[in-house]
Amino acid sequence: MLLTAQRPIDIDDHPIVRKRYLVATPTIDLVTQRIVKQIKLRNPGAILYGYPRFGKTSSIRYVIHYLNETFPGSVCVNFRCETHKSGSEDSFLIALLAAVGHKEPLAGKISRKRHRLLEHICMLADRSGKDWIVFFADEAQKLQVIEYEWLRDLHDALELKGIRMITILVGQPQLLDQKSALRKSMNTQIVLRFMVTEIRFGGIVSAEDVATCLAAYDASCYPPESAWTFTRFFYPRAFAAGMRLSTYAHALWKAFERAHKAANLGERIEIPMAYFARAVEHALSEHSTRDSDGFGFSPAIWDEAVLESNYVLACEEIRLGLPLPDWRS
Amino acid sequence: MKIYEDTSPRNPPEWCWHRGWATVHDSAYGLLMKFAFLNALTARELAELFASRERGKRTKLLRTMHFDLRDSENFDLAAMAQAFGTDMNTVEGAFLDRRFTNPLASAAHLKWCEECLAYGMHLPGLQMDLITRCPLHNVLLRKTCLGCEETIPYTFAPAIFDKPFCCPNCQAEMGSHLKVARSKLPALPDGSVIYIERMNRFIETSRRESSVSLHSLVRIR
Repeated sequence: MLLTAQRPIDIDDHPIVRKRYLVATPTIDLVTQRIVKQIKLRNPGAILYGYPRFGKTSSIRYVIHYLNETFPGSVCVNFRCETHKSGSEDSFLIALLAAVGHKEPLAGKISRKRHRLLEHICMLADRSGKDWIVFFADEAQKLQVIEYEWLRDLHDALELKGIRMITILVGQPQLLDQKSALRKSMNTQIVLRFMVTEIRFGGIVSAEDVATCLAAYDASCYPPESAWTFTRFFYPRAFAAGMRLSTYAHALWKAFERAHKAANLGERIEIPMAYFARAVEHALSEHSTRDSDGFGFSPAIWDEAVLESNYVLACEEIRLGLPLPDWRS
Repeated sequence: MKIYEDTSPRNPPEWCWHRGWATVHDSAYGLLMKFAFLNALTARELAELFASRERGKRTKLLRTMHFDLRDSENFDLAAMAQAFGTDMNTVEGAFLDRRFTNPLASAAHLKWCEECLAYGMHLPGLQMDLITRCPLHNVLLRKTCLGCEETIPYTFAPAIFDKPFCCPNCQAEMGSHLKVARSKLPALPDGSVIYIERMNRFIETSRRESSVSLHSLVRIR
């Protein structure tokens, strides 16, 4: 076997096969830069909204990785908002305590949990040497008014300790309706703290977007310290012969376009990240046995990859379940 | 743009603790109080963590929830060292029976320097009968609460640990500066270590001298 074809790890251990990787889309890149700006300006909050399966949750994890790299030691807390019949401060504090990494999130009364949370956040902030901490509230459309008030209390308590809590509310477009409702009900204190900035989380909308994403597969390596890019790992011979995934951006975009048009899904194409990634994963992993110096991805491979991604089925579900978004600009 | 491996970005579970809050001079009272304060734990929760693992003893300790802070045998020192992010020597030195050769010549109730305790600092040597002044501030040690004039038992008990750095009788505040300090406490005054070591040496030499004189007396008789 050629040296270039000897993979450093087993193919089943690769993040593509394990579906354990985070790739940035132009949207994620934009979101990341907006959040970095929020941090630099110490703005207390922002709304990040988008439809399901567009990759909002993954983008949070991407942003956290990015922030840890850009601001070493920075403290990011990712917590998932849960549905409750009525607001329970106890459950809310338990979720926050678990998210900040306290060893005992369950014990004690509410007042003790509140104190524990505050002290733990102070500890994390002091250790990081920074006067800010970022909270990502995933599925934030589930938050009730009282839960916003508890977040505000925490925000104010941390302010008194000299720590700026930056809260990114991540959720579905209903978040915007919540914002309007809060404004109407005169809860401007919540809107002003957490909801002034709106960031729309979109999908992939052009062949250029596709090219940007695919370039990441050509450039990023796994294992990270190796020279094995994602593309090279699955197609070592073709990669050595010059094949790059990004050169197929137009072909992949066309495949999505064909599927979209065939299913009469409307004029505008916006590919949710989850389905795009699935299509790329399929193309990379399912045909790797055909690797050769002259290998290239045919339109048929891309059509198959798009089909396997369930993009069309998902779009139909979205069309049936939700009116297609008339996005805010 | 790059690809990251999707490893969990969660903050790993840990206790709330500031390493700078554990000095080699702290008493068991000081260390446990600070830990209870930061983690908002009750005495029972604290006991579950740090009571001795010795079979039989642990059951008794957890049942009575009232045990002497001078005696290291009541505690799981390894668990304490791990939680406080420090070494065994520091934790052992927090107990009178490990630090001094005659731990019984000590008070069963808390003796403290108001200025030290406001920052959460309590030296084990202060508990010794011989010591009446703070080696750092040269002020008389308190034996009773300023508010209610009651003594505070030097024991691990719910009444004392449920509200850290407060008088268990009248709830008077004793750790006011510590509670707003965040992680950074002011450094000990210059020469503090020398004063503390001198106090510890004084405790030991006084004991030896008293035992020598006692021995001489017996011989003479």
